Amino acid sequence: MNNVVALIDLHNTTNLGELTKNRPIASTTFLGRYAFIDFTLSNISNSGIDEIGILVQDHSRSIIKHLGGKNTYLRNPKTGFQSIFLNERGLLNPEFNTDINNILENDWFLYDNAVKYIIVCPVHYLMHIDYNEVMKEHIQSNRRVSAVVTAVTNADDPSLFRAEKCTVDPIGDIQKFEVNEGTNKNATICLQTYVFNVDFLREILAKSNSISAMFNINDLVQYLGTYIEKINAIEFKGYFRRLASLNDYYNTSMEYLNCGDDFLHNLFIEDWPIYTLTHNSRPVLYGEKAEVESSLVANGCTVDGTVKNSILSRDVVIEEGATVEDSIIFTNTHIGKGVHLKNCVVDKHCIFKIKREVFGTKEKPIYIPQGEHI
Amino acid sequence: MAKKVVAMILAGGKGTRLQALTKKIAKPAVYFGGKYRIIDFSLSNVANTGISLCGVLTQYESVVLNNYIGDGEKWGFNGVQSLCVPLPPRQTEEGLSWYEGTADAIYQNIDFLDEQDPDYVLILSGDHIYKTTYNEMINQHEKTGAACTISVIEVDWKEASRFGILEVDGSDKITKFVEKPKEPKSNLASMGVYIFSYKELRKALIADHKDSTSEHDFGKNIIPTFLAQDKLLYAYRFHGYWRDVGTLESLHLANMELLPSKRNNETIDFDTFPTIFSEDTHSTPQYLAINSHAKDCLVNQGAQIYGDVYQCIISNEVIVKKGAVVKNSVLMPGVVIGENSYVNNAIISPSTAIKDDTTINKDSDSIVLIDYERSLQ
Repeated sequence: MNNVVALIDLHNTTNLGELTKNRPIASTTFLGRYAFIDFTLSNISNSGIDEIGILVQDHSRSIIKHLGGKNTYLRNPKTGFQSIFLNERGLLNPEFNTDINNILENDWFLYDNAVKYIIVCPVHYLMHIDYNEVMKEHIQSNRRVSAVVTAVTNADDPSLFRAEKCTVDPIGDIQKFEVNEGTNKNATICLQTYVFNVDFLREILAKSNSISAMFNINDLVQYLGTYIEKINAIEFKGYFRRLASLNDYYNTSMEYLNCGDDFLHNLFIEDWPIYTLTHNSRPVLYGEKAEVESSLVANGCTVDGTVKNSILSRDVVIEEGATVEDSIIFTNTHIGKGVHLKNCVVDKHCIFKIKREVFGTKEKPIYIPQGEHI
Repeated sequence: MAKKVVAMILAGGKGTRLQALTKKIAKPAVYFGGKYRIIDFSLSNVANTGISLCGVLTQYESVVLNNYIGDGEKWGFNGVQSLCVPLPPRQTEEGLSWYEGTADAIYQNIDFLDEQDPDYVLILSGDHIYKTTYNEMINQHEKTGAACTISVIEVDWKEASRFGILEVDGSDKITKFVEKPKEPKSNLASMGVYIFSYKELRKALIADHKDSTSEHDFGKNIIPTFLAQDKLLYAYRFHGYWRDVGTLESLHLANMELLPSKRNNETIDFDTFPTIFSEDTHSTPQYLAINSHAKDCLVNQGAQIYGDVYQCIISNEVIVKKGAVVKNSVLMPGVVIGENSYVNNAIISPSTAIKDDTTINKDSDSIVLIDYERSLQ
């Protein structure tokens, strides 16, 4: 799709508690091998969109490091582009550091004659979505703005608390937006994926600062829907997860460990590869005493101990006599002999030397911050 | 200013003794160690030496290999002033000609070398497993001012008659070269790694090309001619792990030597410099299911283990189904082991599916190769 630019919105995201204290959710490790932005970028790339702008709010170092070269996600880095968009003025004025002001700072792509549509994609919704289908429906609808929505029967789930809820009329336009307080089980959730006709977006962005300089894209869409424009609802029927807390992160990760023969379901679809920056790590070495089951293990790990129902990221070492259960271990962490972890999320570069037990619970996993020596 | 070195990697051989493994791919493209291909070792060694110009001479089933080499990005040869290019035989004004030997392969690419205008040419074989940098060898070559320096490794006296053997004097100056001697007088075996001063090499290749009796081989022709002409040739002593994985048994053994239980100080350690670079596939994470066992194994990303694997090398996208037991085996990418199957001492070639309830090589000490066709029987 040559006439579509995809924007990945890192402004309007959730946070995962302590996990995202020093990094955005976009570059947070997931399933040992990925970062959340990989799923969004891969959806874009697999949909044949080769022009990507990443609206970075903060922690740009972490994002730039994860993105690597331009050919990790793009098919043709010469004809396509993958740009980091920063709102540099906004860095000094956090209140004004919005996605809209970011786009206004980097609005050159809005004046590219070849570009007809802008699609805005989130990173905190984990899903397999084909943007070709979204574009098709948007064009068919003849509306100038569309939002992707999905009907759920678990709107009272904590992960959907304060998500955007909307009401769709029989014609398929969105009647109103509200915040999901979880009062009903059934609701239509807005997946923060929007399509704009580029000329309309240009027009409305020119006005947006006069409405409010602190508006973000969600606010803008809601404002448009309420006062100005009919917004087409595009129904998405596939799998999605919203991640809005450390618990959501933990629970969603654990879902992948106990699905029997079908752990690749939902996200890892044939002919829909998930791209990520790779690191030349060697394959995993399992020692003679290793006991590993129901686990995902990333390359570069060395496992001599017991690992159950857990996720190990790159270059993790589990010594003989160490036990890791129901836990998520981030890159380059070393678990020494006699250490027993249960229901923990251990950040990067930690070292556990001394024999000890650290037990969280399923409901309240213990988080151990980056670089702890215990 | 450092001398300019161009590396030329000989990767055209079929590797007939690897049987069906090299039916559709050249030996250097054969998978190794769960993630790598054999040629990754030579190419990574060149990259880690700091050489940024590299030609890879391909011939037998060159498409896979040419495609794999691409622009050399996998080993970092895509930076400025860098070049990594596959050089298969080509049609010229004189017609089409195949590479008739190792020396002829280089001869036919003299134009490529002339364009690069190197001081030295490093000639390597693309089918050896070892980790090194060639800096010391290049330094020695520069210091001695030799026409050619040959990397040698001390081999077991009993095995010496299998190799090209070099006899040297007290200063490691080469006095004699004998290909597969019946009664070896030295145990210094040539590793097929040469550094030539390009001027000398160029002259020798042109002369060799005109000699219709020559087999156009470095070991058989170029080196003996140099010695006959009293050129200065030195041996460079290589110490460490080096394997020529020419047979199924040696390929299996070299794979097994990567396992934790078989390691010693010499075996390849992927965690230390020099790093071996390779293709990183867009695989899913590696998954070990409930009630699965993986002990003493090397397992790559994208593998899914539902059964039991002991002392195995498991590549990307391999699936070992429920109840299956795999021992002492090398599973190449995309292999599927069916439910309740038993596999022992095997090399399973890429994308081969073993049906449910199959028993392979049980209670046997010999190594068996299962390819797609054999899996159907």
